[in-house]
Parts: sequence; structure tokens; C-alpha cells
Amino acid sequence: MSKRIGTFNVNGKNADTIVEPQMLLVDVLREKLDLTGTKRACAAGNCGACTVLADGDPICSCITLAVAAEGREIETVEGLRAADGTLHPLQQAFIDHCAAQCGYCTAGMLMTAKALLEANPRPTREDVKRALSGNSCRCTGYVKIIDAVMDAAQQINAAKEVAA
Amino acid sequence: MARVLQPFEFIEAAGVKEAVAALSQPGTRLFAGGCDLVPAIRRGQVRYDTLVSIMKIEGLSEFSSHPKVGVKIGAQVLLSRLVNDIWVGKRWAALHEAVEQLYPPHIRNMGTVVGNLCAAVNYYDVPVSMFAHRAVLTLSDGTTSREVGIDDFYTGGRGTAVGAGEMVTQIDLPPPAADAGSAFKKIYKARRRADDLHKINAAAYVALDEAKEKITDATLVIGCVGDSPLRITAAESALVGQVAGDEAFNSAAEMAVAAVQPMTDAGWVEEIRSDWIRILARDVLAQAASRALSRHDPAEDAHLAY
Amino acid sequence: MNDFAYVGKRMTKPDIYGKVTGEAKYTDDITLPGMVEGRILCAPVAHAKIVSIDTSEAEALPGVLCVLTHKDCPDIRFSRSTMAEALPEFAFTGERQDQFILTDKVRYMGDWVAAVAAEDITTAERALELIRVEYEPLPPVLDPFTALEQGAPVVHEDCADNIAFEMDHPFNCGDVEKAFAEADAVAEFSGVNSRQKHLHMETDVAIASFESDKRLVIYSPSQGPHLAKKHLTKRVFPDLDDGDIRWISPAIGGGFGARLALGVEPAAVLLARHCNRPVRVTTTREEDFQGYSSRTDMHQTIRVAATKEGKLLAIDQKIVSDSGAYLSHSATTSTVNMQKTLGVLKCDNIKGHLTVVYTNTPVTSGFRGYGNPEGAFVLQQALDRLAEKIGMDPMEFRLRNLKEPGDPSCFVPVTLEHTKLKECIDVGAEKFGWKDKWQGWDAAKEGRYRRGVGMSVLTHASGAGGFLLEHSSCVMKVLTDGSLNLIVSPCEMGQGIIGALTQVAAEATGLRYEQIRISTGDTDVTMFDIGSHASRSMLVIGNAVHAAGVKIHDQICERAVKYFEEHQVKLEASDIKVRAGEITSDKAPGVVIDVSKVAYDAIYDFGEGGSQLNASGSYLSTSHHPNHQAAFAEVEVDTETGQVTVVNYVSAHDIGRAINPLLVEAQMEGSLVQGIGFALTEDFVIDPETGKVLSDSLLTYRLPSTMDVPPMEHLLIEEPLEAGPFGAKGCGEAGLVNPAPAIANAIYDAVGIRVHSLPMSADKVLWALKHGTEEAPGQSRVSGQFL
Repeated sequence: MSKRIGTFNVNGKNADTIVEPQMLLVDVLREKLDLTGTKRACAAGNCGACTVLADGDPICSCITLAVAAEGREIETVEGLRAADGTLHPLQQAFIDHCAAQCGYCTAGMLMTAKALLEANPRPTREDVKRALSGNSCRCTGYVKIIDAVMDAAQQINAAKEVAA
Repeated sequence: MARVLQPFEFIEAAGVKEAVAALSQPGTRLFAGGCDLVPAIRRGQVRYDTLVSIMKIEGLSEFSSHPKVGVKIGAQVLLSRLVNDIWVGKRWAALHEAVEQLYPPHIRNMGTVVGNLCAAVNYYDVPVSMFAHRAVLTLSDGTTSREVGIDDFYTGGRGTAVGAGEMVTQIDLPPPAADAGSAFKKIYKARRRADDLHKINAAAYVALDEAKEKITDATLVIGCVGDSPLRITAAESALVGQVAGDEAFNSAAEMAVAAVQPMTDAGWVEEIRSDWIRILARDVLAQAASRALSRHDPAEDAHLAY
Repeated sequence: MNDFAYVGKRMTKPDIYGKVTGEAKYTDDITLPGMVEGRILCAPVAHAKIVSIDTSEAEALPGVLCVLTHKDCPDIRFSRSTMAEALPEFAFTGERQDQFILTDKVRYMGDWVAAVAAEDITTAERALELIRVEYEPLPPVLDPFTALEQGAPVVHEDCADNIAFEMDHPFNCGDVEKAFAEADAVAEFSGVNSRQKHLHMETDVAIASFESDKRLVIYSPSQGPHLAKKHLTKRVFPDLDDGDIRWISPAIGGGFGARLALGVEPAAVLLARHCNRPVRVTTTREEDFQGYSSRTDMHQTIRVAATKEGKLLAIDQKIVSDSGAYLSHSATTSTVNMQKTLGVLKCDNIKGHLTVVYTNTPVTSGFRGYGNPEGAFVLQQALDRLAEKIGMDPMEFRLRNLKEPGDPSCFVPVTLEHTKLKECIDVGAEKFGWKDKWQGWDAAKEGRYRRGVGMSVLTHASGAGGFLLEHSSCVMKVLTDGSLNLIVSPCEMGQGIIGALTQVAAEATGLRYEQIRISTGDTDVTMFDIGSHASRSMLVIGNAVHAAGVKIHDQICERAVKYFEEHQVKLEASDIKVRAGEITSDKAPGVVIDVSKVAYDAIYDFGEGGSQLNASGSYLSTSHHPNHQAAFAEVEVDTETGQVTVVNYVSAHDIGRAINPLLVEAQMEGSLVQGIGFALTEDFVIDPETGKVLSDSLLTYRLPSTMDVPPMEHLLIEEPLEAGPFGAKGCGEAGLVNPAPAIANAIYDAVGIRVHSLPMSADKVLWALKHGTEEAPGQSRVSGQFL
């Protein structure tokens, strides 16, 4: 397979774009699909800034070949908000706790945290630290990020209880 | 040191035969998760004309684990599959720990177990644990297959026993003895010379007799000290028959230190490396033995199986 | 008790919304019509003559627009540091302008040899591979002390002794040798910090575009775009003038001092000029590691002397800094090291000397703290050694030597007018439990895991008034809905200055916080300012905002008089106040007028009064208004592996007033974790034989992760500084200064060893535990002491 039209399922929608085998998922997302919220920072799978979810699991889009991501459900930071624009509880908690400074790692943090809370809705602080241990942040010292994820977990659970 | 990858072809093989046939073309390489390969291509360390993906081949996704039967890991099984497996956690603890501590955790969702072994990167963690568990790899050409023990898998440099027209289709871990345990640990260090490495890792497997006193079988492996994990065979045979305790583990640790060749000409770097090898060797043996001692009878956990 | 509407409140910041939704636009997210991709060829050897470069094959590749080398560059040398444009002429003479955009000779592995612009990134990178360069290798000099030896390889031909900069401390005073001779106790400590990498997550990137009117627009993350623009015109492209460039700094993916130096902008401009297309130049993380930005490693020896009562008599500091292949910020950071280090405590006999040396290693630069963390690591351990010699609690020793208001300050020849360092120590010690945890110099500790405590104090600047060009201006205009546009030039690189300035503006004008929008980052729009660094933004820019805000407030009050008349109340403007968007007066209880009414009527007045409410404000700072901090660390040392874990950390910061305690806390947390990395894990290792950077990925260069974050507490000591906006001082940089020395002192308390080089990684700690510090593998080349 060389240059051809590829179909990517991103944030619940199918998008067609020209794809070549050597293209990285991060580049296709950013440059072909204009989803620039996902950042390229180390391009080696070491820092987590480019984290997106593939079928619900966090992956490094900077070392994933785009062709290998076709057919998987990809979620990016742009897909976090509800259809009506309401922020995801994680996004709101990051705002409330001031958990983003320069913001370059934030999208990756949010996506990794989302996967954590879906797998483990009541994490301990230690669980959060472990889950985020592959996401580097140079600004915050992580404290407010961990606070925010703990808070978001509570908000999500509280909302679920109300709904039930 | 490029930002993007230069063009190559990408083939999704439908069967093992097709995959290995494609490999006969020069500049071709198998592709699974790509965690090692993609950054290496970007950094200009390797370049291929064609990557042959094995991820769409039927029959390579099998995974099973049972304390009496062993673990089977097909070539498409992701590392993450091991993390929450109850039997891997209980009975193949070294493997569990190696996968659990992978950095960053994302890699578990991207990389395959087989790919992690086939990458033949000398500081990887999973291969070290696989040595402790005495993994056996199945190599297939699509028609016939052969088994290679992990001890014979690495052939120096970044070479493996995978021959032309072959690929690894499965890894099998034999069941541990009734009273056995295993452990994996690592320490990071700075690289001080070009020929130095930035970490040390170790894994051990210890089986005890019925009285849970004496060692009946042991594996001790040190990683990051050469092209591939190093089994400390002298220590392993010396441990058999000894009482599982500090004395035995300390002397095994000394043998591990003696077995490792210096990597640099910097004396102090080598001294610290030796110290850490000693500590890791002792600690993985002690922890493996402690797990052997505290292990439940597998029958008690039978309701968890399958 | 002040009744502020916004100041002192824990509020999130306005620019965070775009960051959590992915909408914030960073430079790499911007695409201009017709934009092409630029890439740079980096040298694969540390020191070499460039014999020939053959670009023909690269140029022939379809899609390649131009391939440039040294011969295509302006024949003028410049420094990456933009500080030359903020320094007075006398201070500037030390700032050697020493490099070309594309080099004439390779001076470090990673030096820029050629640049390519192509239609797409893949073609650009393929073209790099096709450039044939013939190098004639020269012996490299990779160590500053070797570089100082006679006959050492010469890095710059016009600098035969490799000494890039040398000076005595400008405030040397007293008679140091006499003081040492007469002292009851003398102590010494030698040490060197590692080249901590900034590791801003956004790698270096810039877009240069010549518009149809020949004007150059640059998009690049800069901490000081006005300064960068001035520098670019004056030193790099002298045919351009200040007004010819518009520099737009989009969202910045981390700064920490790195963005105070020119990055790829000159290359982008050069390429854009040659191919007549907008060019985006990008870099990789590996290039960042091998490139031109890290902390400067400063080899230092500090001697200190005291009486047995604990009076500090003398300090003597010698620094040999390794600038790498080009000077950049290393002379200025080393100078600041001397000023902060020698000036933190009261002392009458001071001597400092500094030598900055060229080597064939990557270029070093300014990094958060700007010399202060480098110096504190050595000084605070020397002080502890001195306290030990006289048998005094190290905290007590520091308390006995604090500067007081009226003493000379450390940075520039001004008087210290405000310090709460004593309160920082007292409050921090209380919270930390120092009295219980500190068990004396001979406390015996046993077992595999041993705990210890240590402390450190610092003085840091809130800008460098009197030395740097410390003035700033802003513009405000009020819209018909009572909202405010504030045009101001801080650089928001995550530190939260936009949020804090919004609070200052809201408080000073009386308008609503939610209705204040800041425009920044565009040099065509904002007024001149030297950027966000040296913890200056709040003090200098904040005061400018305050000055403009008060004017707006007063205009509103004047116009509001007639609205009170409608309520049958006759008032003077001075009787009226505006707060959070409401106009009231104590003399007119119950009357509340919304600012939008005044603002609307001001614009929609077809008569004589018609004018939009507007004001500008300026501020010139004449002092560095130091902020202070005391910190206490508790560590646990694994005596078998040498691994050190920080188990508790308490700091207390003399902030004047926290405009937003949440943001201040965020700064202190972030800087502490950077400080822990600096202290324990971040090791920038250069191969001693080839000059290749061995730690060139985040796998080998260990950045602190979530797992390295200790329990911490950050206390704010608030007593307003008269000169500060609402009393505020700076806070961004200070938190990175204390961690390394406090942790080092705690390690000594735990296990009785001192590691003389940063990071205090497990291998060095273990070595010292086994062999003592008298036999360590390295020896200080400054003093002969073992490292």
C-alpha cells in the first residue's frame, strides 16, 4: 500500500484523508485532520504529550503509524467536550485546580486520565500517580494535576449517583 | 535525527507464509506494534523499504494462562494483556512486574510481547523476565515450526535465532513448580560513556522443596550488561540444594557480579554497577523465594481459573 | 484588612480554557498560506573545519526551494542571548557576539552547518541527507579546565585562551584574607551543577514570513519578543530595522529561560528571504538535547569564615563556567550567581571571581533562577560546614546573619528596603518541625534507610531595576459593555501572569474580572518591554497595569458624578469608588451604577464628552526588590543502592502579597519539582571522548515524573512591598534555588556524605557512602578538592 485514501474514526466520526504508510498518527491528526490539540513533543514515545485513546487505551500517537490506527476508535482532546460544548469533568477540574501551565502536556494528561477513570472510577492518589507516570510535565510539578484528576473522579461519581 | 519518516511500503500480510515470503525481499522487515521500530526509523538508525505487518494474520492472537499448563502468548498479544491477568500476576510474577513497570505505561497498549523480545534491545525489561521463566519461542515459516528456548534466542549484537523465512508466532512459558516464585527489579543509572548503559535489571525464579526450605531449582538473570540478558548459571547450580536464605542469595549475588564483564574503563562506574548487580541479584532471589514460601496452594485458587 | 474584590483570591486563569480544550494555538499549530518547511543540518562532530559543502544533489531534489550554508549568511556575528539589548553599554561589553546563523567552523556536535527549505517536511529531511559535507576533524576540547591549559585546542580563533569572559565581583569589599586569618572557623565547599535542560515540552520552532509590503512577520514562542526583535535587527540582520519586523509570540509551550535566547528564528528568516515563501523551521527533541540550551555548568569553590558566636565574616567565591561553544547567557548567569550567592547574607568581606570558558560542547544558556540555583548548591553547603565547625544549628547560623532593611542589597547598588526572610525561616521551621527533626551534628543514624533534614535560604530578584532596562507600558480601553481590553506585554508561558495581571487590572480599574481581555505577544500591538524573566513580570508589568488601571478608575469616577446627580446626590469624583463593575459611594447608600452605563455613554456621546475611556500606564523599576525564601527538606537515603527520596519539603516565600495564591502555589510546586530533578535525577552527560550528548532522550535524561513528587507545603509570607502592585513581589524563579542545597544538606544529615556534583544521583551517593568524599572519582579543578 502506498498513497491512498484512509478512513479514520476520530471522536466518533469517520474522516477520509490521503495517507501514506510512513505517516505517523500524530501528523495525520494534526496536519490532515486539523486536530492540533494533540501535541508532538518527544516523537519517541517517552513523554506522553501526544497521547490519544485507541479503543479506549492511551497510546503515543507519535510512534504509531497512521495506517495501523485505521479501524480503531481514536479519541483526542477535541472529543472530550460533550456535543453541547459542556466541558468534560476532567477539563473542568483542570481549570478549577489550575492544573495546566504551558499546556503542552495537557491534552495527553487529560486523555490518559480519562482512560484511568474509565477503568478505575475510584482511584487512590497512588493510582493516579501511577497512571500518569508516563506523562511528563515540566511546569506544574504534577500536584495540581493529581488534585484535578482526584476531583474529577469524585465529580463523575457524584453525577452518576444523582443519575441513579 | 529526522522529524518524520522517509517513505516506505506497508503490507498487511494475511498469513504467516505470506509474511515470511515478503521478507525475502531485501530491505523488508516484520512490523507488529512498532514501538521500537518507528522511533528507530525516525532517528535514522535503520531504514526499510517495506514493513510487513503481522497484526492482521489469523491465529496469532491467542493468549491463555493456567498455573498447571503455562502461558501461551500469540505474536499479536499486546503487553497490556498480561497486566491484569490473574495467573500471570500470581505465578509469573517476574513477567508481571516487568510489564507493570514499563515506561511509559502507554507502551503496554501499543507493543506486543513477541515484538518486545524480537526487538533484541539490550535494556528492555520483558526479555529479562522471560529468561527467568524459561520461555520457549515458536518459530514458524508458515508450514513447519520449531521451538527455541529463550537461552538460545539471542545470537549477539541485535541478532536473534529467527532464520530467513521465519517468524516468531508464539511464546510459551512452562508452568512453574508447585512451590516456586519469581521476581523482577531494576535500577536506573546515568550513562557515563558511549559504551555504557543507563540501567540494570534482574529477574529470578526460585523453586523450593516440599518442606519449603531448600532450593530445588533456580534461574538468575541480569540484564543491561551485554547484548542480551545474562543467565548466571554458576549461581543457579550452586543454589540448588541450599537452604533458601541470605547466605545462599548473597553468594549467588557474588557469582552474578563475577559473571558480568566490565563495559567501560571507568573504575568507579564499574564498581557501582557491580554493587547494584549484587543488590538486585540478592533482592530478586530473596523476593522470589519469599513468594515461593507464601504461595497459596493453586487448588485454592481453582475457582479463578478459566 | 484590605477589602479587595480580586487581589489575593484563589482564581483560575483565563488562558487555561484553550489549553484544556486543545484550542490554544502554539507556533507549530499555525499554518500560513504557501508555507514551506525548513530544517537544519547539524554537525556530527564536536570540532572540525568545514572543508567543503556540496549542496547540488540536495538542490536538485524536486520540492527543494533552497539549500543555504555559511556563505549565504550575513557576515556578522551575534549571540543567541538577547540580553545585550536590555543591558547598558558598559555591561554589554562582556556579551561576546560570537556566532553565525550557519557556522563557518564546527564548534560542537550539533552546530548548524546548513539549512533547507522544501515544499514538505519529508522532502526537506531527504534534502538534508543529500548535503555532502567534508569535515576536517580537529581535536575537541570538552572540559573547561583543559580549555584553560596552554596549548589547548582553540574554540574561537579570536579568543586564543578560550576565556570568553572574566571578571571580579563588582561588589568585592573588605579584606577577605585578613578576615579568614582572624576567623575562629573556616569552611570550604566545591561543587558543580549539571547542565539541566529546560525541556520545554514544545521543541524549538519558528515561522518567518515576508509580507507583500516586505515586512517580516515572525511567529515564535519568545519570552521577550520586543527584545528578540531588537536583537534580530541589530545583530543578525542589520539591514532590517526595528519597525520592519512584527514578532508574534503565540501560546508558549514552556520557557524557563530558554526562550530568552534566539532559537531557529534567524534560520527561518534566512530561508524565507531566499525562497520568498513563509518558512516554518522545526526541530526534534534529539536536536534540542544536542543543541543550544541548558543551564551553564559552573565549577565553584566557596570559602566562608565565621566567629565562634556564628557571625559570618567572609565569603570568597571562585567560578569557572563552561559556556559551551558559544557564549549565549553564560556570562550573565555566572555574574548573577555571584551577586545572589555573595549577597544573600550579611557579610562585610566579600570576594568573587569569575571565568567563563569556551569548550566544544553544546551551548549553555539562562535557566529559571539564572545562576542562583548553581551558586546556592555550593554556598548553602559551605555554610552548613561552617555551622558544623562551630557546633551551631544551621538554621540558627543563618538567622544570625540575615540582612535587614537598610543593609546594602545583593544585586545592584541599592539599599534593601524589605525582607521577610526571618519570618520565612521561623514559619517554615515551625511547620516542618525543624526543632524536633534536627538532632544535632553528631546525631547517629542507623539501618539501611536513613532519614535526615536540611535547609537553605535564598534571595532572588523581582526584576533587575537599575541594571536592566526595567520599564514597561500598557494600554487600556473600556468597551460599551464595561469590559476592558488590556494591551500589555508579559509572555504567558504557563506561569499564570495573564491571570494575575487580569486580577490587578480588575482591582485597579474597578471593572469585572470576567470582562477583562488581555492582548499580548504581538509587538505591533504591545508596548516595549523586555519580557518575562527574572521574576519581573508582576512587579514591573503589574505596576504599569496598576498605573493605567487607576487612571481608568478615576475617569469612571469623574464621569459617574452626573449619574449620582440623577439620584439627587451631589458628589465629588473622589467620593466615588468602582469595584467589580459597580459604581458606588459611601455618601450615597443604596445607589449602584453599573460601569457599562458610564462606558457606553462615554462612547455614544455625540456631544463634547464623547471619548472612549482609555489610559496608558508605565512603570520604571529602580530596584530589584528581592523576594526571599527559606526551605526545609527531609530525605531518606537507601544506603545499599544510594537512592535518595525526598519525603517532605516545606518552603516559605516572602511574596509581599500574593495577587493569586493559587498561581503562586502552582509556581512553587512546579519549581520545586524542577529543583528535585536538578538535585537528584537530571543528568546531562556528554561523552568525555567525543563530545556527543549521551542523554539525548527522555529515556536517558530522567525528568521527574508523578512518582517523584514528595509531600510538600508552600507557605506565603505576606507583608506588602510598598513598591509592588498591591504589594506584590516576584515568585516564579525562586522555588528552583533551594531544593538542591536543602536536599544536599539533608543527605549529609542522614548519612554524613556530601556529593559535590549535581545531580546527586544514586551512583554518586553510593560511591561516597563506600569511599567517603575524600576519594571521590573527580577532583575540583578550581580548588583541588575532591568532588
